[in-house]
Amino acid sequence: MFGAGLVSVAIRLAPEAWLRGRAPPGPLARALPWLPVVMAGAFVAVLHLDVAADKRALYLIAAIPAGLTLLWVRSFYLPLVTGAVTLALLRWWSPGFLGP
Amino acid sequence: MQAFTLAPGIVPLGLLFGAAAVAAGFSPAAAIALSALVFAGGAQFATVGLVATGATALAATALVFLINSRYFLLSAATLDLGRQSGATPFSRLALALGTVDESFALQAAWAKRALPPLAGLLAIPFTLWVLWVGATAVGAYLGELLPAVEPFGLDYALPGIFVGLLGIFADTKPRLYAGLAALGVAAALTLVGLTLVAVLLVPPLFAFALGRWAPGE
Repeated sequence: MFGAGLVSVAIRLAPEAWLRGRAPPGPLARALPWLPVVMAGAFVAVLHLDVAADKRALYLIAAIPAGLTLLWVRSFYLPLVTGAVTLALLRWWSPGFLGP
Repeated sequence: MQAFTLAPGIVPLGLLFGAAAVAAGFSPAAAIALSALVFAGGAQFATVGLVATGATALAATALVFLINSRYFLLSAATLDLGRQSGATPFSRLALALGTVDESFALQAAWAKRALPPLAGLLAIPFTLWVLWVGATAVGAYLGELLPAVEPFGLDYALPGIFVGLLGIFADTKPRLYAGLAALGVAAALTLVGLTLVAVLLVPPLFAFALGRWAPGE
């Protein structure tokens, strides 16, 4: 357990030990502005698909209204609420057919 | 306040982790210490699963190293935000130690609107850490007594938040295409069972490639 903790701390502190408050070097500095959007894209895929098969179908259906809210306003509250409400309604409406 | 909006996603996972760790043979204190030190849901669940199968501590440590290696880049990005906000050496250490996917996403979303104050940058990971460790403690001690979150759809909190974050970050056409391309590649990898590759390699490879060929964006 302490080995796992130590490794996690070391990975997080390594950039500070390297940079010590300086700006990151060229290739890293050019990559960092792209990191949020590509990380968000990758996590949207993983969080919707790396679940049990019955849950996956529900998540993909919930993602449609959640994603459509972005056409109205860019916010992370609204997709969360819209997706959760959609999921709750799907489970309430057809708990046997659509899984847990 | 932004960090508290993640509570519906963080707290149920923390509760579940606390309960799962105790069920796997960890003491409640060990489960809480693991959450406090590792502070990374995916790596912690994997560790507990591995330990439950009788794997060695070295194997568990290697697994945590592999899964958490992505925090190197996220920590570097967080530290760059901290540098721009005038972080002191001590606050830079706190920022680095508090780096998780969700804290970085919130900090980056804030930075898209305006340069966040240092206190705000620090408050996000601190709030998430308190929620995560607190939920682990409750799950470890009261796991079997807690109600299920699925009937309320709250298990969709984290996927839903990342849908919203993708929308926030994809504010230009090139960024939208980059986000969707990362989504597509990660989806394909996940569907063939390479989830770890999708999480570990897709974001840095895309970021470095785009930084190389589209540096002005």
